[in-house]
Amino acid sequence: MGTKKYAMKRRVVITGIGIIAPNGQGKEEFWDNCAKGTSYIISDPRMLEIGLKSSVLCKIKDFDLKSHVNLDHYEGLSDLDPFVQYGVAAGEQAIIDSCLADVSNDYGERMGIIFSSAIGGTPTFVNIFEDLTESGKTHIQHKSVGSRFYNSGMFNYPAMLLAKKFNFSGPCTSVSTGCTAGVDALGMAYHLIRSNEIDVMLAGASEAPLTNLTYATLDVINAMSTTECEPHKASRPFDAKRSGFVISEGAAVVVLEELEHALARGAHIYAEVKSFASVSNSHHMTDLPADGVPMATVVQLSLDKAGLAPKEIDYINAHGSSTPQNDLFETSAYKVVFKEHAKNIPISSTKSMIGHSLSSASLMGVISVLGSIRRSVIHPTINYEFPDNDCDLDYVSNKARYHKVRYGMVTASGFGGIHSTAIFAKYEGTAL
Amino acid sequence: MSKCVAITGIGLVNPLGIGKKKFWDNLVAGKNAVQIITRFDPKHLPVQVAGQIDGFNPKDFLPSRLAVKMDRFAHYAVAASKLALDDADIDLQEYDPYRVGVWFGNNAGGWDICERGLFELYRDGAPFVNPWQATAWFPTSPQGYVSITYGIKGMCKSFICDRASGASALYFAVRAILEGECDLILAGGTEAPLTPFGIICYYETGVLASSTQNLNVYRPFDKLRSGTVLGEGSTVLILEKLEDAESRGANIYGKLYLGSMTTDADGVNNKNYQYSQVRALANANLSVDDIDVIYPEAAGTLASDLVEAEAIQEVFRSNLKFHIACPKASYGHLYGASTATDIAVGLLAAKNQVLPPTINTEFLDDGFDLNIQSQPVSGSFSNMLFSSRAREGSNVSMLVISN
Repeated sequence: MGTKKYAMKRRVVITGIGIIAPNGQGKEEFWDNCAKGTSYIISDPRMLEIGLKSSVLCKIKDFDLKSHVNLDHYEGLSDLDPFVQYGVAAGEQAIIDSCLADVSNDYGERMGIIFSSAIGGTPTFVNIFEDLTESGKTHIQHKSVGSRFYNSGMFNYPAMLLAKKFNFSGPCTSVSTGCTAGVDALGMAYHLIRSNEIDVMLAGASEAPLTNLTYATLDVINAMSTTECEPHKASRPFDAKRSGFVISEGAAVVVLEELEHALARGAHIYAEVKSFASVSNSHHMTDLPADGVPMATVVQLSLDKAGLAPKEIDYINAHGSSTPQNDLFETSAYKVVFKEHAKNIPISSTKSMIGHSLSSASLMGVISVLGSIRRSVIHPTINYEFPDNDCDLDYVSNKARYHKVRYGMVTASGFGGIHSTAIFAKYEGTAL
Repeated sequence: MSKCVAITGIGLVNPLGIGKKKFWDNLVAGKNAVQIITRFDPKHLPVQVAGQIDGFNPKDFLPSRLAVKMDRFAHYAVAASKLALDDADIDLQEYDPYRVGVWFGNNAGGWDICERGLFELYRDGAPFVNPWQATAWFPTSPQGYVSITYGIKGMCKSFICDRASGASALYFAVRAILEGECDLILAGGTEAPLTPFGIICYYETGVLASSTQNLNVYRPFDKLRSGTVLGEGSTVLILEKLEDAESRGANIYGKLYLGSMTTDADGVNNKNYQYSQVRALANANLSVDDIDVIYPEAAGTLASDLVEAEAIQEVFRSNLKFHIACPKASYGHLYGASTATDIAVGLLAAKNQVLPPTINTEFLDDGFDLNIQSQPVSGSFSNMLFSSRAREGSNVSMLVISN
């Protein structure tokens, strides 16, 4: 591929975090539980009853919307699809965490929001289908169901609610690129700040796919885990007995900010965004080549853009979806790029504990990297029991590790043949 | 830094015609592609008219074994991509595949396959859902299939933002070229919402005109307007680095400048819509008086038309010559494909020195002072402003200057 010089541009840092995940509603709880290595995956007997091969999932328990947001500010939010609710709750957290809520009052035109999702409000679509067809017994009949139907398909809807609440009057839109969409939204936000279009961007992802249509769609193509094991062990990235991913849900939001802007207001800086890269494999909508070339390409590209040598990467939060193809594909890619150094890089999969929440999984991976930079702790890949001869790198199996992270990478792959990566650096003052 | 990219190819799959020539001839002739829906029996729906594409065969563009895996909205995108590449005289074999991208707007995924999957699930059971559903239904499916069909390996992204889905894609695509991410981009969008479930989804927001018979119901800025009419189709534009297009001697239809995107965060007013237009003008170093024609959102809803009309009258009050053109009245609103289609119209109008008519708009609403013509107008239309506005208040404006 062509070599390109990437010009010095404005620097971008992360100054706020919000997360609604199965293992934590808030960054500290999420980091704590990731480090503990606890699985939140459960069985759902109803999945077998409807004829699925997989019977495991991961869900957010005890989500209390009003404990996250003041419902007076979001009329009707409690009736909207969970993906909207999770997104708004995570967005509120991120804005509060960044201490930007007041800044936007007189500065809103330099602040924007980009969200993302893979399949948005699918539960609402399914409910409305049931309503309009007597659960498939009739043709689709028109009934008054209101705008919640349409809004559940608008992936920027949580972003728009947040923009209005906090007076962010810059760009407000969404990316729909499936399982890379979260880190893609971060990438689009990064570009807007670097090129001086804007100073502050929220980048978010929100997903609530837990409904029968999603299960059936993914199960029929054998994407979901069918490993015969205890439910909490069903997501087993890089393990020889892995058989598919475990569907999950949740939202993640980070605040991206131009460095000088963040310094001038004394913001807490979690990390600097060093690069974002994304390629398409042009191979297949779901299949991946075992040699890992597309992923190797995008990993190398993100290193080149960041101006980093391969050996400088201290940690990779991997896509690690627990599908037979993906985990081999990724492992091969890391060997291609990092060569002998590949075995020295700790690689872990957050999905081993909380499954795959499609778009938001990669942004949860980003938040995991931010935690590792801050706490010098790398969370484990749990359920690693049976070594796969072809997956032989350091997956931080089963127990968290103390490890200083100066440069951390996040990788993501998705349907449509998309592969995206981002690199984050510990912020060490202007000397970096 | 140059703030523009070259547009060197146009691919249209539109209710008015497949391919730019048929589309353009029908548009200038004032033909109305809004018709009674015949693809299924719409008699139980409150909306029975739409811009429906007839005579499109996916096998003209795709092998059958691939076509069967895809929803209609991806068929349209693959076809429009082919037409655009051919129009630009581009052989992608000659390009580094990692420097080529696909940037599309699509609003809500594949409706045919979504309905099929739901009926399979409820009537036959979970194991009988078709295996293409997972990759045919989600809104990034067209991007994926276009990248696979044409061997494209660079940065590709898809966007959702209601009526500004396609404008979002173009906004980011121009940036991707100017910042060195891609050298060549297939940019635009695609939609195929004409199914019972899809129409109900749109209708329930209140934006669609209730029409069971009236084919002239899409009337932007008109006193008698009652809402938007849905259309379907795909438009793909070839965006290239200006230097590359010049050095290969390409036919450059026009230069697309960096756009501006704003949001009505502080209540419904037209201040941020104005700001998006003012900033878009600045990115192209044009003044308000330089603009020959504005292609607005033209949603045909009271709320959207009012914001647009008042903002345009304010920003362009010193410009005594500019036209407003709303070509989408002739083929319906294409959402993810709408802005790329407006740009295609603008480029063809500049090239042919004819502004196509805005059909249906007969009686401008009180207080609107907009130059909207129901007949074709001859003249120079080379400085064009495109504005898109989503229902919840995202505004995107971008400038095109034609040579």
